[in-house]
Amino acid sequence: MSISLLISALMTGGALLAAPLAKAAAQADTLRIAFQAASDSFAAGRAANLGVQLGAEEARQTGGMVGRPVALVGPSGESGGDPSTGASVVIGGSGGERCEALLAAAEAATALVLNLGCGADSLRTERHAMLFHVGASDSTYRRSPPGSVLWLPALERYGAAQLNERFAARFGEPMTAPAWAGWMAVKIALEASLRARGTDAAALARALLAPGMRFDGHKGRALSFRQADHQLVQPLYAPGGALEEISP
Amino acid sequence: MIRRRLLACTAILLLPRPTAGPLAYVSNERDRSISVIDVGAARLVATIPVPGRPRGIRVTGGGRTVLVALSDVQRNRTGSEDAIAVIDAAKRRVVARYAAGSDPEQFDVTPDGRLLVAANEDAGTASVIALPGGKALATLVVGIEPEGVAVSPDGRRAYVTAETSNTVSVIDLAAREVVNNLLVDVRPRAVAVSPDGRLVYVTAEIGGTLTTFDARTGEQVAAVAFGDGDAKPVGVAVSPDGREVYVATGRGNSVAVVDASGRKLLANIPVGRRPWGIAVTPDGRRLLSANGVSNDVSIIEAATRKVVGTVKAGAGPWGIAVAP
Repeated sequence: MSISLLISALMTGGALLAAPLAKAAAQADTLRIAFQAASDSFAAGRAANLGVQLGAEEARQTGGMVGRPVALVGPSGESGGDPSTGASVVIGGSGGERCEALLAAAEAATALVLNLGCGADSLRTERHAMLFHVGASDSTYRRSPPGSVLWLPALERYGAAQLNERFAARFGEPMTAPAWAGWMAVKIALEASLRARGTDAAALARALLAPGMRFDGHKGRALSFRQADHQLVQPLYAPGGALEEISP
Repeated sequence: MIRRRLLACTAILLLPRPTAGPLAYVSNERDRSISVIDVGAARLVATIPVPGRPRGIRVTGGGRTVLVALSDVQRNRTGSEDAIAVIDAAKRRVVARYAAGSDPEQFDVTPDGRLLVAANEDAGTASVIALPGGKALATLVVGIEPEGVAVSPDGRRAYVTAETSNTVSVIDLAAREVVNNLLVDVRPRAVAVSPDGRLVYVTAEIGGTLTTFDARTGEQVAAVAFGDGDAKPVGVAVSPDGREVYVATGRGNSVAVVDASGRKLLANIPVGRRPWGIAVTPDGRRLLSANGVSNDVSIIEAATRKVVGTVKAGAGPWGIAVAP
């Protein structure tokens, strides 16, 4: 699937739209998310694209229910941080080739930037106030059992089975770790907006670090961003199913 | 004459053994059965096999009928086992099955016993069906991964939680449409309504809270956290007098007692392992928790907040309901 096809599917997908409800829905600002899509030519990139797609479909349904319209803008490509897109969130970093664009968006600091898969520790510094990391860092992976991942298609507990089955039913393939990261990033973006009661990028970043801000990644425990390095603290799954808490 | 005598004999044969207290019905998710427990005597009196994985359970018709949501092991599509099973409480067997959409999990029944509202977890919908008969009246889109269902005491509204959306959808049962959606804490599970219909209580498994909403305005009016430990609030029930709210804490292995305002944790009662379903006897004197890992039911005396009995159930107790 080409990028443009993917985006048009995002725009029109989600036939199961929530009934038009909350009075607020008509007035609320749209949460605009720019997605620096990966190339479909490698598996992780394609999986991340599909994860973002499912996440966007679900965020549009939930957002529609509670008065926060959600739109994916793009394809944003290298201009992910360009204010002209009107996006208050940029999702990117799904693999090596996309890390430069992600860094550019973080440097622009006009949007909340959610990093899917760039593991460099150099990105995890206080210098990038708007940059937050959904995927784990390279150093965490180095310290973890070989083959540790963010997610496995075979997970069942804590609602993992439901998520894995939704993904498989939607796309006809298993939900791998990059796909989970893409899905999770969109969910985080929407929930930050609901917490902030708005779409201002700086307010979204503050919301991610607000006391008690927790996320359900279908991993059975509350996930949250660490103040020091903006890393999502979460379990990793080692081959064989053991859990490892991330500590980059 | 002969016929009358025959009827009398049949009636005696069908009469259950005398019971000391109300009967509780427990759905055992892992061995496809319903345990029937005499609460007063604290003993198992019967086990009823059911054709599917049982979860949500309710007693209707003044105790004559037990309804159980059954799911197929095949997820994400309507399987042959997906149904609401109708159990005749006297015969202790399944006498009918109603279709209630894909993968029905929790459900509730209006006080007049005429409408059933079920959450279809995989489909993201709530099904409204007529009782008896099971005629489908409406399928409504709610949040993603709907789970808990509660009908208001006046039978006018149904509340449906959705685990992924962090929402509670409010359904007007007369109009059969969703009239509001409340944003709630992270991963909402069960929902219960106060006897006067004014407050709606919602457990959040990942949020670790019970939040309380004003039913009229839809505004959150209180929240109580169960700490950062193992507590994962799941099942919730309200005492018949409306004064206390009871929360099964899942991995916290306890039943928490919260005041009616939803602000104050009054007690935390250790029970069996992984309590999920929770119920109160109609006289309000006993609380019951279905403990999913220890495969038993804890019977708590409400006044003293002490466990007064533990009864073995089947494998994987999930839901529990008490007959009047």
